Amino acid sequence: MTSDAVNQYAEMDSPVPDAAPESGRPAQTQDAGVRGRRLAGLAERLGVPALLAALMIWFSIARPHTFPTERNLSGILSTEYVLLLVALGGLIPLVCGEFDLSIGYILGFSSMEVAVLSLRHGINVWVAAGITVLTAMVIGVVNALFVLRAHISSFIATLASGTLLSGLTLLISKSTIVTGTLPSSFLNLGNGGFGGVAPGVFIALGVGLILLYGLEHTPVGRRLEAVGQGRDAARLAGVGVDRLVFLSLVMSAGIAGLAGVLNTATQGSADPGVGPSFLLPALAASFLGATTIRPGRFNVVGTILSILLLAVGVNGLSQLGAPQWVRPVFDGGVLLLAVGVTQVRAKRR
Amino acid sequence: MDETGVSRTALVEARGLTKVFDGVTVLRDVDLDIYAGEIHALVGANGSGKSTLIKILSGYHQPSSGRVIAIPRTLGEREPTLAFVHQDLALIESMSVLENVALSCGYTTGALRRIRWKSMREAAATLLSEFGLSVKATSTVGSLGGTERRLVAIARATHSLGQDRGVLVLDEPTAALPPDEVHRVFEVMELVARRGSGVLFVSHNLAETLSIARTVTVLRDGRVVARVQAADSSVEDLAAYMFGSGGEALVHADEVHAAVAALKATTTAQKGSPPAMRLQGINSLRLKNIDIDVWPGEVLGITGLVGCGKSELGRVMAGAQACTSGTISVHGGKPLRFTTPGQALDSGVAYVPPDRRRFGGVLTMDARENVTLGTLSSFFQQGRLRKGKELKSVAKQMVEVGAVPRNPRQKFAAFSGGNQQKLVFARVLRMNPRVVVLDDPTQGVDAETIPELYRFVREMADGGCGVVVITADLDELVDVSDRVIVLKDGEQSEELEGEQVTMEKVGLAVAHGRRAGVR
Repeated sequence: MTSDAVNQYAEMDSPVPDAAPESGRPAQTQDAGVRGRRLAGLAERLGVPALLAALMIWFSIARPHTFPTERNLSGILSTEYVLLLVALGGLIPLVCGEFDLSIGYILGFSSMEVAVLSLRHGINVWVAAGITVLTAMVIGVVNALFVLRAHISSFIATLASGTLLSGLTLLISKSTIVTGTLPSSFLNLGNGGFGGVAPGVFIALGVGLILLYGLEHTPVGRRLEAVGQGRDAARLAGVGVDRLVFLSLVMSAGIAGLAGVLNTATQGSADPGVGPSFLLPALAASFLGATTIRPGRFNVVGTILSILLLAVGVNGLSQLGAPQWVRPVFDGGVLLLAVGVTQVRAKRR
Repeated sequence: MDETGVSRTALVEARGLTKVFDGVTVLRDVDLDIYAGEIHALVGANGSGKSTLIKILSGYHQPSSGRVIAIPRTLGEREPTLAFVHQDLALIESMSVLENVALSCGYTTGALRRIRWKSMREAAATLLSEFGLSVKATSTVGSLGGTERRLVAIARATHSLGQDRGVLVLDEPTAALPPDEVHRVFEVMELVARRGSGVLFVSHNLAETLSIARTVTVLRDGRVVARVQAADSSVEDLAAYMFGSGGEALVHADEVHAAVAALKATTTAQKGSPPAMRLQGINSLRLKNIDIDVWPGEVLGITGLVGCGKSELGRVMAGAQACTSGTISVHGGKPLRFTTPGQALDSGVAYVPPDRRRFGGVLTMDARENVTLGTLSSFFQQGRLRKGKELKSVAKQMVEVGAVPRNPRQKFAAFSGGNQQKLVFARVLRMNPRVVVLDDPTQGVDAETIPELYRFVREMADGGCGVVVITADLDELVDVSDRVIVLKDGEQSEELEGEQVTMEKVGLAVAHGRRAGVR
């Protein structure tokens, strides 16, 4: 466009009221309105971290000798990092508008695969871990082919492939818990470590950092979001939708595979029944995360904070003597509350 | 009773409606009476507050002050109800007309709440025939054409008023309808009014408005600036009210026309150079043997009746729809067959799609994200997306294209139609395309913005782009095009160029669609 033309358009102002002065309202009132809106927006963005902080303060006051201790806090991290990893994996397809319901089953299968390869077939555990993560990514490729080539919705395709995998898990494990002596270097991934925080925690946070960079600071991440928010428009704007959906499903499967390997390291054995129980809390954390930090968008920081919120809540409540049934009730309640408040606010706007 | 014999019973009164969003007053002390048996039009430029007013009537928004009163006609009668047909017709394509009607009007049930399909079918058939629709109640909405769908939606809304008189509110009831079918919607509106209901409708088309409405309310900047009887008013009067008497605003249709046509004289197609785009032997679902050269520097108009394949041709050019045979080469490049829009863009073909809310922009993302969606890589520097730079660049471009409000962080959905389209144009401009394909680029765009949009179009052509404009609006087509190709049943039926591009000749070619070569 020539600079002359630019000037022409700059002069062609349309009479749509973007001018405050003629509204007849004092400018101050408008500022107050804008400020109020910003404050409300800030409160919404910081809802989950604020609740997390409040819970930590409450539990610290109520159980000063057992809650705010290094041992307890590093324990919380070390028990929840596998869930965090699965949640981060599942987040990627959610960003581009797809579901991966197979992540829990992939975790279970991978957990079993690394144990079987190393304990029953005598393969070096690190090699086995590598093979396992690659296998998981191949499962992701299969998921993606069903979604993109056979045009099965990802919800159904991954539900089916996950169910199928749970059978394969039973097959390779011969329906028993696989246990034995794994090298301590491997077991240390999930236990002990720096300040009582398992190395696995740092792996999970590292994956989180990579995703944060990839999703929020690269064109690929922005395009992934555009696909999730308006697939048709994104496609017509030149975004390679299929490639991104493929990438997201392969990555979620790969990360779930990694989570499976780490789960075996943490437990020291592989249980064919593990896995499915990770699926719903992981997705719930992603949805809860989408109400905070960047409301309305699935996001990495929100997901991490949500996992922490749920973990701290359950840890503290059990220290206060709450029975076992409290955990799922707490998880579900927080999710309903957070999403509910966000929706009602969005409606009022 | 007034002199024309129409009963002056107000069914709904709105008093002092004011609406403030985030400190900006979008509606100011608006009064509105809807009378029984009257067709009332609401006109105004984009952003004048029409939509907000309708949304307050429908209860979607609460007014900041003022109120809406539905007046019971006699003691004991029910309050009159309002029924709405929005631009999105809210019909479910996979369900039958009957089921769609039942969605808002309820089912007739017998014992054990069993649905009495037979009596419902009969009732629906009666309803459809009353509204002059020859479609079956059992056919799916997806199988109906645009006009039929709209009539079904209007029939359903009227039916939902029940036996009582009510108020039917129609938002742009004739938008996107072929000109020769508009009268069918008008006949239905008149029928509803004759039966004693009130009709309120929003329109951009002032000539149409005057031909059907009895009373016209003009909004500007959220205020009622005029309320006139259609019989005593002209298009020029309405436009003057809408845009004010300020000299710079384009005042009426003739000037819009002149402004767009004036752009044409300045350019010549560069036929010596390789074509910006060459289509060879394109066949697809509807298209048959299309051979078209688009020259750099020209605006090529493509038109034809509904179903002629003009939109499909646009999609094929943009890679959004596959063709079964044939090739496209861009700027003398290798002949290709596009399979994705991304591939077409890589070759230099940009596309402005027809259904803006679904295909043009990502509604929930902000202006900035929409504008840079096709050119994100240019902001990826030193391993990061430079968001500050992106924001500044978009803010600057929003000034250039005149998109308001100039807030790059505002959600795409919150812009008015004309401004959304400016944002889509902004995105296309950033891609530096060799060919731009625009399908129905002025749909839902206010009269005042249309010449601005076409000025961009002309500028792209002047910059050496080949521009293809696809539209059923012959006025616009004739104004903007250097050359016109008319399609009939998927084939090129006629080509008109230069002096031949007149309303009469193009109109005749579209109407007859006769097969003739270039003369």
